[in-house]
Amino acid sequence: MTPGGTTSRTVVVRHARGLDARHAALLVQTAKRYAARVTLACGCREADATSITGILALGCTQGTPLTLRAEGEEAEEAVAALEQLIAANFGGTP
Amino acid sequence: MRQIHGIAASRGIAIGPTYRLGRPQFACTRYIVDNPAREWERFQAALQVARQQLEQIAEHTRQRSGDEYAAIFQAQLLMLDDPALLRHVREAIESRHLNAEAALLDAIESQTQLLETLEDEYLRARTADVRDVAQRVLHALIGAPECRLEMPAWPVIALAEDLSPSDVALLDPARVLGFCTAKGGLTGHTVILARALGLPTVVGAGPGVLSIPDGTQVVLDGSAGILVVEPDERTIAAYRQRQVFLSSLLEQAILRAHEPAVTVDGEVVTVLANIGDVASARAAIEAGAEGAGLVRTEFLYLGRSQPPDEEEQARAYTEILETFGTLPVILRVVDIGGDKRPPYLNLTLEPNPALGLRGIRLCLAQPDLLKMQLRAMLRAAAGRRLKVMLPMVTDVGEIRTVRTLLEQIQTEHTMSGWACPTLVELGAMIETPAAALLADRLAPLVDFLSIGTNDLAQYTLAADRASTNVSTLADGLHPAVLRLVNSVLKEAGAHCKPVSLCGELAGEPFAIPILIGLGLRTFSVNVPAIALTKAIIRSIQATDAQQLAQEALLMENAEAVRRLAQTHMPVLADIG
Repeated sequence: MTPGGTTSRTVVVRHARGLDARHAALLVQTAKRYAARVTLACGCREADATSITGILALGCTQGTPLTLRAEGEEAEEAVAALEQLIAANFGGTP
Repeated sequence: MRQIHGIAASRGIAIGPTYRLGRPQFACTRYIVDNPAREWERFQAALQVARQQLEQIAEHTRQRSGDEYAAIFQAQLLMLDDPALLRHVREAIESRHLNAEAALLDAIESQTQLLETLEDEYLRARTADVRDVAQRVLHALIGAPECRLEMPAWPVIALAEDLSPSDVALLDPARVLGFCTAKGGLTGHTVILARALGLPTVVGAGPGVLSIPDGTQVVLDGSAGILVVEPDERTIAAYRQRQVFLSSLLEQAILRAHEPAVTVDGEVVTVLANIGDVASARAAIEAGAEGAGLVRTEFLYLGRSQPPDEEEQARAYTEILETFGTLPVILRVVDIGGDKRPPYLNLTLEPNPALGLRGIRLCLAQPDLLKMQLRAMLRAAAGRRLKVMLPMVTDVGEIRTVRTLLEQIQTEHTMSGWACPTLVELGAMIETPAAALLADRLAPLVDFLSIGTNDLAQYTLAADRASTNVSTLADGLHPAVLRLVNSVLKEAGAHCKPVSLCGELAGEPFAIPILIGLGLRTFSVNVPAIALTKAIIRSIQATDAQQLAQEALLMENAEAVRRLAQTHMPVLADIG
């Protein structure tokens, strides 16, 4: 566990449907496992990573850059886990 | 008799009496509460009720249709616990002393507003899920029983203004033969669930469907998006015939999956499988595959930081070859690069990945990668026949280079005392217009050809399959693609080289009679399509198909080809 801090990283969503309900659900479930407060930003919209409707409302489509930002305990771990999930394309093929 | 046109949402034909599905309406009043703390508790209790119902629906859907569909309700469960929603409701109850129903409706309104302004229609369609969840909580708040639709005891064609995803998840297919809604579009979960249940569905048919009296006889054509109201005897008979044909086709598909596919006039057709790993090889055998026409070896290369070594590859190929026993197996050289860039290859992102360094181009640019794979394939096929196929070929030079490399590796292999395959065959994938147009030059240099229609359509029609805007244009039934397929089949025949077709097109019902008519006798399809492809082939008369294929080549576009195929064999519209 890392002590409090802020981490941010930008990834690109590759899935053809962008961040659809299934993917948003996986992100929420992953984010909930960490103590850090995680937000996702896409263009000018921002969402709490534990809010599925907020994530859907980002309107994040294929090829859009998505910024993961976490603060507090386990910030680094939370960002790494979410990054891994998106990079592995949510376990699907592009 | 009259017809109402809507959007074809889920294939199939249903014939029966109508029944208007309605939901008990209740008024939601807005008032000030004296005890906000107790109101918040009341809301929490309602959430708990809704949560339990949704968990049951998710489980029911998982058992009936699988995890993929249950995920729709897993997402709804998360909507129920959405922190933004809860904050909104709590604030309205605690600071403004609003009743829970009104607080919820306000919160939902602000949530759906965010979604409704989105440009992407798939994301916008998730509004229906948010509303579905809200309805469920509202029902729980007013203490009404779960918001289930009232259903008659006899089988009906359901008519409704709109149906929510959970409405469809709870439909009993024994009592609902199909449904038609006034509103709705193709992108919602409602339609996805209807397809999973195999329920013929038409959506967006307009308010006219709501004034049809209960018990009216209708035909619901989910394949064409038509509701035929009070059909005459002839219309019913024609649809009934299609229905019977379809059910016997589906039944035969299952019963005769392991028998060879022979056309009505005795032409024997081979149906192979496209597979992507050892597990799918086993599934292919169980599904009735007569071999593997395409083994995608990418599974060994993707999702890892180091390339697979020779040992690991040889083990995987051996397992696949052993699974198929004496049946033919075509191993394709790895097709990566483009949009698939494992970190160990140090590839840069190209402006047009589909037109970049991928397939055989990448293999020749990084020959060590190719050599290791060829060595692993030779080892795995010791004592058997090895068929190696090259992806993305555009030039005869590529075949010659790999042929030389393969012979060289084979010599080294023998000299080091390894057992060799009994026969090594090299084939080219025809998936670029260049390769298709040069089939007469390529054929003499290879032992077999395989037409990959997914990429062939993408490159011929200049439509990127990864682009949501144009991917539907990459249609293998476009006559331009069919003409290339036709010429490849002719050239392969002229040079006596075996040829198979391994794109999505091989398993597309409308394409099957056309491909038979063009002379294709080896199909390679995805595992779930094997049994049905065989069944369709068994109902085809090859001589009739020949005429159909010649007409298809003269059509103007893919739509016209589909219409032509449907006139030839109406039941094809109901499959898939």
